[in-house]
Amino acid sequence: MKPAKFIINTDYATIKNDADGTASVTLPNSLTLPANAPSAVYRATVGIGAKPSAGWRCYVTSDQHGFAVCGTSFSIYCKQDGYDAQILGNIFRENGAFVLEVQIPSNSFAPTTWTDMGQTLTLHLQAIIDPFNS
Amino acid sequence: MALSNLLLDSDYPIDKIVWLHEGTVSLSQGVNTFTIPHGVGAQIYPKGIWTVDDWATTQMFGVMRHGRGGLLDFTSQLSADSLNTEINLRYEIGSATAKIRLWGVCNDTQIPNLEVSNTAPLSNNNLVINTDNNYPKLYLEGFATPGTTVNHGLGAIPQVDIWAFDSYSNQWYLFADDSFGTMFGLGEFVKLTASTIEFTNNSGASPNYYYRIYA
Repeated sequence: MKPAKFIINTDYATIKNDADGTASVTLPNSLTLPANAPSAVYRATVGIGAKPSAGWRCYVTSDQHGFAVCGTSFSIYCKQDGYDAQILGNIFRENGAFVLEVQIPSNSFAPTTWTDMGQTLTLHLQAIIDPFNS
Repeated sequence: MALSNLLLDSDYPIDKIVWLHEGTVSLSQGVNTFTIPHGVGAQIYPKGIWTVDDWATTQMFGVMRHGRGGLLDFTSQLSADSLNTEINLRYEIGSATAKIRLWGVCNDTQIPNLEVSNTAPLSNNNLVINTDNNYPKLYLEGFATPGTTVNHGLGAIPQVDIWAFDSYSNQWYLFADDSFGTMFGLGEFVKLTASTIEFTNNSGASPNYYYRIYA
């Protein structure tokens, strides 16, 4: 038999890898914010043009650590006014691009100083598409 | 050139999506929980995305965000057992309508992943197999507990999906949320390296992990 059309048919939806990309952002080692100031926002953006209907897989590396973390939220351990603290980072999609965002918040009532933050974060992204196929 | 004997062979399975769901939920300020039956009859491991602005901005479940002054904007978690998928979306920036897209996989002992292997030889002249979309290969899957190191030996940090078992709710959660602790610095719970995945302590909140490594 010579098939005119060849179809690989699976009865199950699966996931396709639509695009890969990386982007980096460097955080300052020290930053002082006035009372009730807007958060200082640091972003790395990957504009890979993918439109994932399913989502993405990603991990984040830091040049200060020999390992990576996976997931869409992560914390950066640092100090606020000399005390151990955490800053949250997020990964999301915005207007077609993928964003790694770190917001360094202010204190509502007094100036605050963040230290020990200095590092370069790199987002390693794999956009996936299907099973919704948009 | 005529292809007289074609053998499709893959050493790797690819994802088999066992459950899909697309819908809309109404969020009020505070904690919102939604239970969605999936009907698979086996433990599924869900992932998903959500939006409150018709996909202009998309969040994955598992994310949390702090806004101005460090105040919490939202947390979003996704969990499942053998019957239901549960959304737990704490939304602190008013009310909204959220569009959601969810999907689930099973571990390979429950529902085997797809594997193209040792297909019967075909005879064909003009066969094109288009791989523009590059199916991610499921390289390794399995379960782990804190203290476990999984050797993958890929030589590069792989793409990994991880779920963690919450003994309090007896459900498997998508592991991406800082409440489980994907962290830099002290107290990190899962470390990815070019050769291993190291599952470390997690304060007893989630004693088991299910992981899927893609290559």
